[in-house]
Amino acid sequence: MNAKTINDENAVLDALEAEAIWAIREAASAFQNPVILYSIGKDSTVLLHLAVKAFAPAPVPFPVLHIDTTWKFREMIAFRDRIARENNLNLVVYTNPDGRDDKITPFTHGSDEYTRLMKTVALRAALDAGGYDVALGGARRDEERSRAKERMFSLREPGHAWDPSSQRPEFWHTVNSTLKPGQTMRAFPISNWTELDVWKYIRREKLEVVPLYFSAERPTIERNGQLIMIDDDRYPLEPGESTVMRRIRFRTLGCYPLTAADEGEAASLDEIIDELSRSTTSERAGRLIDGKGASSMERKKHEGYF
Amino acid sequence: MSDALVRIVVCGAVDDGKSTVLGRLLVETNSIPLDEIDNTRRLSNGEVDFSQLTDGLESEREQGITIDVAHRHVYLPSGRRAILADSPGHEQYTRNMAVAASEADMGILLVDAAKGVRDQSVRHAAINSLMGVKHIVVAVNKMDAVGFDQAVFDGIVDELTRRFEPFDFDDLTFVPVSGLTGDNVTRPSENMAWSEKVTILSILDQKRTFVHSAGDGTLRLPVQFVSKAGIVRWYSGTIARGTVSVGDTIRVWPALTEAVVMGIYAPNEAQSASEEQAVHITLDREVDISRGDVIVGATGDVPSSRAHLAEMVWIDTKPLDTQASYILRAGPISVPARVETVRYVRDITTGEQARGRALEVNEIGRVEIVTDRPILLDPYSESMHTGGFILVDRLSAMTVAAGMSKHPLVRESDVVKHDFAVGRAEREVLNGLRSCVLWLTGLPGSGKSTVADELEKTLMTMGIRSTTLDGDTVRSTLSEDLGFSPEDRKENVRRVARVAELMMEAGLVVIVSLVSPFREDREMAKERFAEGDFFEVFVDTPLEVCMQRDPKGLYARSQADTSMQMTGVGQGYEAPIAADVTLDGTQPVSDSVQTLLGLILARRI
Repeated sequence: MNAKTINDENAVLDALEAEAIWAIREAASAFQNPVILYSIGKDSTVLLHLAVKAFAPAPVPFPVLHIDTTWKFREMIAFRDRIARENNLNLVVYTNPDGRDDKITPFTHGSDEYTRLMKTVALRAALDAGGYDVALGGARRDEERSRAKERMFSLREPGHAWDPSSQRPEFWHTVNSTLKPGQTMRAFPISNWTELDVWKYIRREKLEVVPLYFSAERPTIERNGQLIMIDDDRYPLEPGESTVMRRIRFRTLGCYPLTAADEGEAASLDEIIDELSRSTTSERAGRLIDGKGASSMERKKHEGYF
Repeated sequence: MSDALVRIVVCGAVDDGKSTVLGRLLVETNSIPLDEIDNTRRLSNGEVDFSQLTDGLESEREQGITIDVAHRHVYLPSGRRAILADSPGHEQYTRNMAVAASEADMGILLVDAAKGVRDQSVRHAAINSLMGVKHIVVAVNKMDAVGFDQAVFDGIVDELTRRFEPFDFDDLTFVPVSGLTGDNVTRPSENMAWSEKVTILSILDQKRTFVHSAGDGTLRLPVQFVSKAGIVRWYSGTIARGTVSVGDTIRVWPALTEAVVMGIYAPNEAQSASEEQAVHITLDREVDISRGDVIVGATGDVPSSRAHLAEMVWIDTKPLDTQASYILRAGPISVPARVETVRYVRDITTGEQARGRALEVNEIGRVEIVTDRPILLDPYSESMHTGGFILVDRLSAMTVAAGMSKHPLVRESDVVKHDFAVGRAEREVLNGLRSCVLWLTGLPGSGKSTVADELEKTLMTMGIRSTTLDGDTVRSTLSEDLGFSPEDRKENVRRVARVAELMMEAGLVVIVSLVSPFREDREMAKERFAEGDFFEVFVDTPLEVCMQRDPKGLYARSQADTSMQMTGVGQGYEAPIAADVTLDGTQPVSDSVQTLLGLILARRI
């Protein structure tokens, strides 16, 4: 890699950073009650860092919302709490109370219904409860082809439904922030970042991420050709099935029963970036809920999914 | 601006094969993961359906068309990055194409070799031009369907070169391609040995300089956010134009209060920052600044007014209502606004102008827009981010139009805004006549000054207040520093127009007697005024007659001294195409005076 390429890389990150900060500031000042959706993963980590930069030396002027499905990796929750404490963030954690009472799990109710209740419905309820009119998220256009169609400021109809045909055109640095009663906005400041950009930025800015992204020996089982990490004793094993220690890492983090691991060896940021530069599979290939039908992400978004 | 990240709009009429070309570009540059490619293989034969890669919405795949813009990253061989915005070809989704063009550094326009040039191709080119995309690559696609025939390609090149003439492009490159076979997309074509060895990819990779605007580059920093840390106030925003450095004196619009920049974070601490950087700055004194104010350079014009002339693309299915109040937004600026006048609606494929009707969906027109308070809008050609605006419908909350300012207009209401009790309207009542400007243009010796003089004498006897701005007088006073080059003539016209404006505000009938040989300059002068206040009067006298008259001996001198830039001799005179009034300079002066007098008396109150 020559010096020229390195400079270009930094220039790309600078341009993406400036664009994201513009969007974060716009969300904070053109709307009444903003919130950051924090999912603890690498994209959220970058988004949070950008929010800090957008307002420093003043503190981030809005709360950070985490939708806890109760099935996140334990390391994620520990990381979340520490980051919130260390950065003095106003962290709001929300779990769908009905789902918790009814003991909804991906095993008893199926992954679709579980995701709908514990993620989509929970997110809608949490946003309504907080009265937030704009929710900033770390979604990126390169994640998935329906997301490639997303606006940076994406309108949600009452009930948080996404209607791709009624999205507002975005011209220049001018956001139409006028909302009718019941409408809300989602803002995606890192829309134009790729997965590789996210990692390169994490390296450049020396950001801490959940250790699950780095390769280590972890207890796993193999189901339908995919590796699942068994994070606690709630995972129902089949008769005769037992966990095997394997060197694994995660390319994307979600609920542990629904997130497949990679057998990647990458144990540092440099190695992740190197591995990713040569990777030929898509980022969300490990998301078990994405694969269901060609438009499953789009359909979930219609219902208000993040 | 950094060229490491290039934004490209990919456009063209429906079925010209955009998605296929773009899909191939993604696959052949390894910009897309293999499993995503595998997902789009046809069940029938296992071949990749490239269009499935970018048509990300269910309704798009069902209908086989692109509805909305898809953003995809392409990794260029040089290590740079391009974000390609695949935009819809259907006329009904023109607004989405306009969005993609508004943020683009460069455009790729697809044309179907078999179907030839269609109006939609020209429409997309026009929108690119309007939005300030200066660099266009025309990919003549589906060359495989015409047997890779050079004559077909050349025919399209000729036709488009001609039809794109009115557009404002810095460069226009044509390349024959086939999305289906991959010729000249990323690999030089073997089927078209006659074509130059360039591909779409090589053009993207080699293009490094992108022009957006031609402004003087003085600072524009619209303030998004003001925060307070301790006792220090931080002003945050993204630099729309120019640079800012620690120690710079700046002004804060609208009050134009001066202050000095003490600190810059961009977002890390810096000594200076430039265009497109997101910054915080601190100032040496406490200034009352809030969201929507604009930090501008210490010098230079600040085009702030309640009325602006603009080009506007209407994107809502409900047509423009000139009685309705909309919300105008330009970056952090937000203000109630009305479109007071539609000067004309332009058919962008033919250039024809229709007058006297409202703008409808996907139409482009020139409008006068009036806001409740003065706003800063730069000419779009000089500053995209402070010259572009949107209109929002109050009821539907939808964005209904995108506008690009030409320049501010001077209105009587602007004078009132300064809390002066007496404005143009009051002065006009005193005079019993609505003031106006008669701009006499014509060759030297055509009789302009004679007409002006005779007209003023008549007006005087009727008690109508008037004045004449005469070319020779102006040259020895207001414009004594200017010569006769095209640039200097343009500046002279600008100054005279501005002074005429002031005098019109004073309630006078203003007669300008100026050769003003260039159409563009006169148009610029006219555009400063509201509809009906300015009359372009062509004093039409043949060159031979002027040379014969030669009242100042100029023609005789210019024949002796060839270095003289004499209009009609060394420099051309561009006669008006559609003057408001044409006077026959070979007829008696009194005829001309009567014609103009009729015009003036029609303005009696």
